[in-house]
Amino acid sequence: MQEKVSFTVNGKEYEVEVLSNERLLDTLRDNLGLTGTKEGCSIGECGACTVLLNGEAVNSCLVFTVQVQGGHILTVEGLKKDGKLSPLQEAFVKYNAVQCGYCSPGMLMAATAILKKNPQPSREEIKEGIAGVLCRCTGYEQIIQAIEAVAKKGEG
Amino acid sequence: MSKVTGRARFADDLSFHGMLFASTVYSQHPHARIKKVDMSKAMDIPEVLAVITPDDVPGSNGVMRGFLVLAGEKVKYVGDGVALVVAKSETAARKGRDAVVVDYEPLPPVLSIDDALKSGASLVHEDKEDNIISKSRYQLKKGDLERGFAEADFIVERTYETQFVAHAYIEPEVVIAVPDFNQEFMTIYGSIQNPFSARAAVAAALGWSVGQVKIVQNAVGGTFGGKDECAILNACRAAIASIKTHRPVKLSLSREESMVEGPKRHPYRFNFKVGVKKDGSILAMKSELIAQGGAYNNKAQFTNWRASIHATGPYNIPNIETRVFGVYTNTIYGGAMRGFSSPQCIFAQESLMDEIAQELDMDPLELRRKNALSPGHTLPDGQLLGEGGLPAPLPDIIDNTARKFKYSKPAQPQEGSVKKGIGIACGFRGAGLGAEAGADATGAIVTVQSDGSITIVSGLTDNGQGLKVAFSQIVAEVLGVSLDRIVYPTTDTSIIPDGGPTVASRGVMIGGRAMEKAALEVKKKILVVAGEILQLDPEKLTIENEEIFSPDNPEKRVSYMDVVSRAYATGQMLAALSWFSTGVPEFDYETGQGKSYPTYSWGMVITEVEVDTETGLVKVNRALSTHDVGTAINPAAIKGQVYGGYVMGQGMAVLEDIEQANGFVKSKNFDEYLIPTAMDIPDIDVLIVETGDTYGPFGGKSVGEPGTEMAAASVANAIAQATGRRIRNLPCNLERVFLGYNLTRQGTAR
Amino acid sequence: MGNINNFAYVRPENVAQALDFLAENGSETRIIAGGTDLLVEMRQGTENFKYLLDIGNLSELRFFHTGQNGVEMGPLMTHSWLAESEEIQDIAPFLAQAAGHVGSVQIRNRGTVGGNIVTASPCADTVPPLIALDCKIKLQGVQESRWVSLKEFFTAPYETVLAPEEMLTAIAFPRLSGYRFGFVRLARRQAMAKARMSIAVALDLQGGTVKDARIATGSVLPTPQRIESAEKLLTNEVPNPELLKEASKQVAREMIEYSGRRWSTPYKEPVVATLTERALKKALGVN
Repeated sequence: MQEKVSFTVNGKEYEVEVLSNERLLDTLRDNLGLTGTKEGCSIGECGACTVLLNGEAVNSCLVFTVQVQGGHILTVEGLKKDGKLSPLQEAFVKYNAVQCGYCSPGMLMAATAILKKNPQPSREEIKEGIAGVLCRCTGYEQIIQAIEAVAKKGEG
Repeated sequence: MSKVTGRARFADDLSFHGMLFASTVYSQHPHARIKKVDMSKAMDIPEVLAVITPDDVPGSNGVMRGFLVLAGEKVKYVGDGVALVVAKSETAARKGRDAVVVDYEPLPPVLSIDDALKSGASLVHEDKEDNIISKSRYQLKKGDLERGFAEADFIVERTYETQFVAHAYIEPEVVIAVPDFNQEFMTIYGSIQNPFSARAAVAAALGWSVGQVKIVQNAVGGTFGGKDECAILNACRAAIASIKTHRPVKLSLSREESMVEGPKRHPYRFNFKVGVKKDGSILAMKSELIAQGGAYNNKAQFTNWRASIHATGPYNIPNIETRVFGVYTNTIYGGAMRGFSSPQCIFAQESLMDEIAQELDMDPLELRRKNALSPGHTLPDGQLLGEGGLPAPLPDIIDNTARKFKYSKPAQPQEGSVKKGIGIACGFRGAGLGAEAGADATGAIVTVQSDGSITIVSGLTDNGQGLKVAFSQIVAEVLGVSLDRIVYPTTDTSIIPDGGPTVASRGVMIGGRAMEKAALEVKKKILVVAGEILQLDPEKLTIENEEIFSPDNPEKRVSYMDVVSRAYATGQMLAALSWFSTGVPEFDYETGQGKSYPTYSWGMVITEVEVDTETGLVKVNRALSTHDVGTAINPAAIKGQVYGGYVMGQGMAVLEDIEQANGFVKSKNFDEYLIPTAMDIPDIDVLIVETGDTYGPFGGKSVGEPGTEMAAASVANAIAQATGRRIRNLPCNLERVFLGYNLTRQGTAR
Repeated sequence: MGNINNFAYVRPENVAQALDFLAENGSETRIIAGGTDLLVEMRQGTENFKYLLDIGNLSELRFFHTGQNGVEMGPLMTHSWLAESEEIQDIAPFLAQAAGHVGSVQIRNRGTVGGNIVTASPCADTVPPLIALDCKIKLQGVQESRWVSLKEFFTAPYETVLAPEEMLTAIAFPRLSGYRFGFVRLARRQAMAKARMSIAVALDLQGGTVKDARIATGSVLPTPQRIESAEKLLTNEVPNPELLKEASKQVAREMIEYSGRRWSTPYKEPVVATLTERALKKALGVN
C-alpha cells in the first residue's frame, strides 16, 4: 500500500511515495540514493544504519518511513559543511579511526549525537554513546580517541 | 577519506540497469538426500523470472575442492544452497525462495569430531572412504621424543578445545554479476577477499576461460579471511543467474544467511603430552591436533600445516612430535580466519604452559623466560636463530613487556567475590604463506602518468586493513614524491597476473615487496631520463622531495615533473610490472623440517581481568600487546591492527560461540552472536619492537594476525589465575567460568 | 533485507480515533509506537496482520505527572527519557537505572516504556522495577477502561491480558516515600545485551526494621513476578546477613518450584540468589 510521506534529509525537503512496510533505511538507500547509511544486521544490533532523526540517533532499520512524516533526518552525507569535512570526520581520518569503513557512517552519526547532547563527554560517556554501533576492525580505541580529540577542542 | 563522507561504494551500494535480485533456497536439514525440488509455486509469483537448480549450471557445479554451487543429490549442512530464485525485486526473490518446496530424506548427521571418527559413522562425503579430510594430515618430528620423555622428571597430559567463531564482519556478503553478451564476458562486483580464487571458480562454473571473467573489488566491509568460499559460491550463483536471464543479478546475503552459510574459524581439539624437568625445562612435547572441518573443506590443509609448525609454541623444546588432521562433519565449515589456526594453537599451548607452571609451582613468566626460543636455538622446523640465522627477540620481548606492564602475580587469596587475574601469552608467527603451498609470490604495477600522477596496482587487495595506504607510502618513499600523487584503483583481475590470496598477513610483506620492487624499477627509469637532462651518470642520482640531483653536486637538479614531461615527449616508458617470489622453499613435509617460513614475527600479550566469581562474568581491564614488526612503517596503522586484533581475540575468549543444536545454527544474528562492544574493551597499550629484520619492504613485518592470535590465550590464562580453575574449552562464558562446565539446551557439555 | 509483509498504515489523530479503529479492527491490527521490538518481530515473517496503527505521534500518550501520591505517565515515554529524567531518578532511581540498560542509545531513543510492557518479554528491563513499585496500567477500550496491576498483566512469555480492542494509555505507580531501591542485572556483555536475569528490590526500612519488602524478578520465572515468599521472610525483621541470604535463596527455590529443574538450573539457581542478595544489599546500602 503506497503512502505519501514528506520529510527533510540533510536539510533538503523530500516527498516520497513508499510502501507502508518500507523502512527508512531502504528509502534513504534505494529511493534517495543515499547509500552512505549501511545495513549490517537488520534488527537494530549493529548500528551501521544509525542516522539522526529529529536530532536523536536511531537505527534506520527499525523505523518505517511512514513513521517519519514531517521529520528531520541527518545522514553521513549531511555532515560536511560548505564542502568541508566536519571536525569528527577530520578526526576519524587523522586518528586512524577508519579501517574497512563499513561501520564508519553509523559510528560518525552516533558520535555526532554524543557531542550534540554533551560537548564534553567523558571517555565512559563516549563508549556508552557508541556502544550501539559494532565495529569488528578497530577495537574501538582509535574511534574513541578521535571523538575525545574533537571534544577536547570544543569543536563538537 | 570517502569512507567518512558516505561516498565509498560497497557492493550493496551498486546498482545496474535492469538488475535482478536473487535469493538462495537453503537446506532444511544438516544431512539429507534431496528427493524432489518443486519450484512451481515460486514460478507462479509474477515477479519471479527463474529458479535455478544444479541442472542449470553450464560449467562445473563443483568448485573449490568439493564445494557445490548448488547441492543436487544431498545436502551436507544447513548452509547448502539447493536452488536459486531470481526475481525483479529482492522482496519477490525472497518470497519465491520461501515458495520453493524441497522434499528431503533425512540422513543421520555427523555433528562432532567424535561422531566423525566413530566406526560405522555415516559419511559426510559418500565418495570418500571415511570422514577424514584428505591431505589435511601433517606431522613434525624433531629430536627423539621417547628419550625426551624418559629423561623428564614428570609428564603433564592435557586436552583443550576451541569453538566455531564467526568473522562477524559488519558487511554481509554481496555480489553482483554483470554480463556482457557482446563479447561473452562476465564482470563480478563484490565483497570478495580473494578476487583470483573467485575468478577461477566463476569461470569454472560458467564453463568459460578465466580471461572471460573479471572480478572488481569494491570497498570491502571487513573480511578477516572470511569473504571467501561463501562469497565465491554466491558469485557463481549470480553469474549463472545472469547468463540465464541476460540481466545483471545481485545476491545480497542477510546477516542470518551470512552466519549460516559462511566459513568460520575451525574448532580444534588438542591432546598434549609434555615431559618436564624439575627446573622447568621442557624436554619433550607430543601433540595431536584434530580440526573440525565441517561439511566442506578448502582450507584445513593449510590451517593444519601452519598448526603443525606452531603447535608447540615459541619454546626451545628439543624433542617434538606433532600430528594434525581434520574431519568432515555435517555442520558449518571452517575456513580462513585472522590468525589462521594460531589463535586456537596459542590458546591451547599457552594454557598448557600455565598448567606446567602450576605443577612446578613456578611463576608463569619465569617458565616462559626459561624456555623462550633464543639466539643459538633452533625453531621447531630446525631453522637456526641468532647469529647467521633468523632474529630471536622473544627473551627481550618477555622482559620488556613484563616491565612495561609492571607484571606481578596478584596476591592470593583475594578478598571479596570479584577477583583479579593476570594472564600471559607468548607467540611466534611464520611470515606469509611459507611452505604451505609452494612459492609465495605476487605482482605489482607502478605507472607514472603524463600528469605526474602514479597509478599503482597490486595483486593483493585492500580489505580494510590499510594496504592502500601502506603501498602508497612505499611507492612515494621509493620515488621521493608526494603521497598525493599516488592513485590506487581497486583490484581488477584483468589488469594484473594472479597474485594469490590476500591472506596470512601477506599484504605488506609479499605485496609490499613486489610494490617496492616495481617502484625501484620505475625509479631507475626516472633516473635515466634525469641523467639525460642533467648530463650526469644516472647511477649517481637520487630523488628527494620531487627533485632529482646528485649528492656530489646538489646545485644541479631537475624536477620530477620535468623528467616526466621529457619521458613522455621522448617516448620513454615510466612503468614497471614486477614480481616478487620467495621461491620454492626447501622443506620436508614428512618431518616438518626445513625452511617453513622465511622469517617469523614474535610477540607477547599480558592481560588483566576481573572475574565476578559469583556470576562468572569476566571484565577485561587492561592489556599490553607487544609485537615485533621488523621496522614500524606506520605506527598508527600498526596500533589499529593490534587494538582490533586484541578485541577480536577477547571476543573469542569470553563471548563468541556459534551455538548449534543437532546441526542447526542458533546464533544467527548479532542479538545471539555477541561480539565485544565499545563498553567491553580494556585499556590496551601497544609496545612496538623493531628487530631490524630485512625480510619485508623497508624491513616491515605484518601485524594483522599477530595482533589477534595471543589475546584469547592471555585472557583465558588471566581468568584461570583469578579463579584458580582452568577452563580448557573456549569460550569462558558465564556458565563455564562459574560452574567449570558449559550448559546448553541439550544439557551439560564440556 | 526487508522481508516484512505489507499492511495498511493507519495514523490516528487522537486516542479516541485509535480506539474506534481498534474496536472495529483490533484482531487484525498491530500497534506501533517506537517499533524497536515490532520491526524485529515482523522481520521473522511470522506476523501476519492487516493494519499497522501508529500511535507514535499521539501527544495524549506522551505525558508525565507527578504528585503527592505518585506518578502517572504516558506509554510513549522513551527509555532515554526515563533514564535521564531527574524526577524518575528521584522517585524511582532503580527504574531510571533499568531503563538505561535497555539496548543502545539508538534503541532507548525510540523504544518506549509502554512498548516494553506490552511486548511482554520475560527479560523486559523496566518491568521488574515497575512491578516492585506496584505499578498499575490503564487498558482503555472504546467503551470502558480498566486499571490492571502490572504483575497480573502478563500471562505467559509474550502474552498478556490486553484485549485486541484495548490499548495501554497510562502507567501509574505510587510514590514510595522513604523506600530504598536496588536493581541488579546480569548480562553477557557490558552493553547491548539482553538481561540474563534481573532483580528489582524496594524496601521500606523503619527504625532498622523492614516494614515492607518487594522483590521483583526478570528472566527468572516465565513472566516478571514478585516473589512474595521471599518478601515475607524479610517483612517485620531487622535485616542481617543470614536473613538476606535466606530471602535470596527463597527466590531461587521459588524459581525451581515454578519452573522445575531445567538445563539452566545449575547456573541460575545459585546466581539468582546472589543477584537477589546484591540487590537487597544495594537497597540497604551495605556491602
